[in-house]
Amino acid sequence: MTLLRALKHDLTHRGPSAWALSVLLLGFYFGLYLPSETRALGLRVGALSRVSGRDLSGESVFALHLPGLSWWAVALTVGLAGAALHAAFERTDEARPFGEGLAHRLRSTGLPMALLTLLTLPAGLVAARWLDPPTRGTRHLLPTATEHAPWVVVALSVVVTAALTLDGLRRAWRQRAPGPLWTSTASLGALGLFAVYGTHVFDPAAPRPPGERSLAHLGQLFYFALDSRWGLYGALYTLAVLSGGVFMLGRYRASRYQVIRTLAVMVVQCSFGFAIPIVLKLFAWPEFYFSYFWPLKLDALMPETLLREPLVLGLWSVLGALVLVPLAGVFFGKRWYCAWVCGCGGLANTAGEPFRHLTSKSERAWRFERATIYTVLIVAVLVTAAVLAASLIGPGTRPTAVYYGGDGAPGRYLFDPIRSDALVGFAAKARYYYGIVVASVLSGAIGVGLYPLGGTRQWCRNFCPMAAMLGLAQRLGRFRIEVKEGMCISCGMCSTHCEMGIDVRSYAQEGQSFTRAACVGCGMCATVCPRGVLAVTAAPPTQLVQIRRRRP
Amino acid sequence: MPRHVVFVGNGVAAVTAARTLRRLDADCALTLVSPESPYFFSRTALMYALMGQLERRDMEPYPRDSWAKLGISRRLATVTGVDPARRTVTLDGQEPLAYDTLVIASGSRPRALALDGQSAVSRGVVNFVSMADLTACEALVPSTREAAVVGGGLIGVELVESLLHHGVRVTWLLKDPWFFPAALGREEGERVTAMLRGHGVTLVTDDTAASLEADAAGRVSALITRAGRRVACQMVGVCVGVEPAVGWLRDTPCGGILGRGVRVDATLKTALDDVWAVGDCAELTHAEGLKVEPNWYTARAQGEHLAHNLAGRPTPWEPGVYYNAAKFFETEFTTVGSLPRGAETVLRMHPRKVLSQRIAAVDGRVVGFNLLGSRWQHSTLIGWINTRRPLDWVLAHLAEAQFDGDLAREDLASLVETRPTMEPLG
Repeated sequence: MTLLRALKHDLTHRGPSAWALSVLLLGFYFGLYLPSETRALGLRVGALSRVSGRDLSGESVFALHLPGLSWWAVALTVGLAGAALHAAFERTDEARPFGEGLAHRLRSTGLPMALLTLLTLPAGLVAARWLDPPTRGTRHLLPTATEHAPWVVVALSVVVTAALTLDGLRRAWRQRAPGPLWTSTASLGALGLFAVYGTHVFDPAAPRPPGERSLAHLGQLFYFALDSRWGLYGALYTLAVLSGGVFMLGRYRASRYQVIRTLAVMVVQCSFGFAIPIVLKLFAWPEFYFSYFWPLKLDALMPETLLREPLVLGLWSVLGALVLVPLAGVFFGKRWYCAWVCGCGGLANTAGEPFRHLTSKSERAWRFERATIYTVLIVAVLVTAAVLAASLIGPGTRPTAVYYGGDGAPGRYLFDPIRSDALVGFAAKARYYYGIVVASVLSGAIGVGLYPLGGTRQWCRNFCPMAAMLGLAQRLGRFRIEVKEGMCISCGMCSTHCEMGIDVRSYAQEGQSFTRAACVGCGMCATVCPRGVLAVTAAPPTQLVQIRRRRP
Repeated sequence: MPRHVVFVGNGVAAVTAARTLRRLDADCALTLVSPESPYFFSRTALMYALMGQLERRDMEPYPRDSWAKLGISRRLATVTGVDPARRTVTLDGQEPLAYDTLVIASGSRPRALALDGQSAVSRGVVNFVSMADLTACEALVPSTREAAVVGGGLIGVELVESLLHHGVRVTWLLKDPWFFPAALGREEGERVTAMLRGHGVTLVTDDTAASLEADAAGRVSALITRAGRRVACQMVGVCVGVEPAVGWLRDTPCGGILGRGVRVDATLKTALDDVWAVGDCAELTHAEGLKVEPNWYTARAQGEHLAHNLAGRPTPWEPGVYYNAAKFFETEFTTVGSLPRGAETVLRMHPRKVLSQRIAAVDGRVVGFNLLGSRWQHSTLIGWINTRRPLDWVLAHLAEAQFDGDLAREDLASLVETRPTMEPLG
């Protein structure tokens, strides 16, 4: 029991296990969304360690060359990145001058992460090598003499990290505070390895030696439903929302709002987010998610998607994005989508619940949020516009150009004043990079991977273009957090529980009702408020007798 | 040279006064002196910190850099006395601090319980009102399987809930027949008491602590009640109320301003020049009802009034209609106005749930509300009392004062109405 409690505290207070879980999730998402890029990165890291010109594709790449200069450079980069992450998530403190803070971050996070990277890089190498299709078939069952070294290091790193983790837990329990990160950074390599390996195991499309099967091949029905990594991922996602939802229902059973909202999130995920697309597929329709709209799903308004889909689905996409979403945002606030329907919010509010208090409430974080989220929205609009424009005036459809061709041979333009081929190229490129940076890295890897470190809703708060749009709509409507004047006891439960980083207390203790674009209307501030000061509502304001008697 | 205002204390009364005064007067120098914590924290958040839901930083209502921005300096020191002739306060182990204006806001301290065998106990007996108490409780909880809590007030229920949260078996001693009779009538009190038992606490009514036993290491090992019941425990929480923390002034030249607390007039000024008092430690000589009111809301409102007085805008403190709120586990409680013993009341109660409203009237006019299990807009209720609304009018319009959020609105029609009087205790 004691150990479990210590683990829970550690995991939810940025202790060693939280860092380890974050690395695990990041590894998982990179492997899931960007398998070939991740693989290439692993090989690139391998290449950095190469001395004496040995070739990457040969067996000798497994030989360990620790003193290699670039090896240290990678470790140093990881260490600095760790220190930067630490700085991004820590609370500002007037008592600590900047320089001292820098030294502290480098010592407590940067150094251990760099050291651990030195130990665990071989693990990454092995993983990349193992996943690399061209060489898998010829791989020996047991490592040859030159392959022993990395395995020894992997084993060593696992032992060391396990020892450090246990020590961190012990300290966490004794001091009722997370152990120093020194003892942490647990299992960076071991868990990362597991993550990459895990995506391989779950991926039916991955090349395999004869006799080895992926888990996704279990049973024919299973195979039909989960015929891709995305099918299996969807099942895992739904399972996470359901089990987290059960946890939520138990924890907040006294709050009717939270019970109904959590049930809604669970039902929407099971149906619109999982079962309905599979059923549609059974009837040979496209795998369509009714609960995702442009600009969260950029593809929904892309011309080739709309042309491919049955009319009714196309109408749903267009009307949903341009009419339903903003209008409902004005009338009900952002919450109808972000806290009741959306799968990203659904995972955050169920499985992510234990991490909700970690979101930064600082001014700095708020400034960052406003800068990034509207940037992503603008970029999303521009990318969509570019693709639409390209398809409208692209080759073959340009009314302004004279096209010369014939007999099925590739033609050429005789007259082309607006250089649409450049536009087409730009649109394709913009869409590709938007897909990698926003859809894969920001929404997937960062969005979920940083739950244990930066709190849930990192994606929703800082990057989601849909949330940005709904936030603007919300400010037009009358959705608000109503504050009962003079009743706040400044306990801080509301601010601590705000997953969007709103310092609710700063409004509540001034008795000031407010609307913030960021608020997703989860209602948790009002639920946990011990004096019933807050009400999340979009109802017409009541004619209250405003008594300011006790305030001069 | 701008005047120097020194506050003895760093609680809500002192901090509200200092921050409000800064808004009214940009020039004066402000210093808060307290040994408790370098940063103002919310005392009401202690239980959530003990339950692990809040960290220390979460308990601070204002950003840390705001103190420097507002030019409010804080001194971590114990004030040992005041020298009104030299206009200095003496500090423990530090140079005396000169003031032009002194505000005494030293708050409350827990009332002590004289128990037999207490001298043998060196560890395990706690209060639950200060940062030091919180730290002590956190240190004790991991090695505590069973605990006893003495006292059935609001702090008692907070400590009980926190201990249960950590899996501690709690025996809770109430000297009265039901929980919180200071505010709750018998009918609601018994319903709440049953609810508390349902949460797994062993609740002993009409009994209180008599003596303690300690183990070889000096840790408390058992509590014996008046009725002779022996409660094995490794931790005892004493929550039998608070009193003004003014003992440090008793033997100083300022002793003359002390009654139960620091005696002040309607402007919160003491009999000494440029010495004022505010919050839990202030004793209001002009008040007809409660002279010492240890309450967060009162302390904060008094702090605002005091700041206006210090800024040369005389604003006498009028206690006004009393209101308070609390939470007993999941059940929220709001009280507004007064419910005199023996008054005619209407009690609207849910058949099973802890959900009720008791409305007291004198001469057909509403004077007080006791509201359990749902949320209410207290300012609306205060308005009804101030405008002397008739009882029937209030019953017809009750729903207008509901403050439950969307989907959480309680259906008032499901309640059963009776008309008991507010039963006197004992």
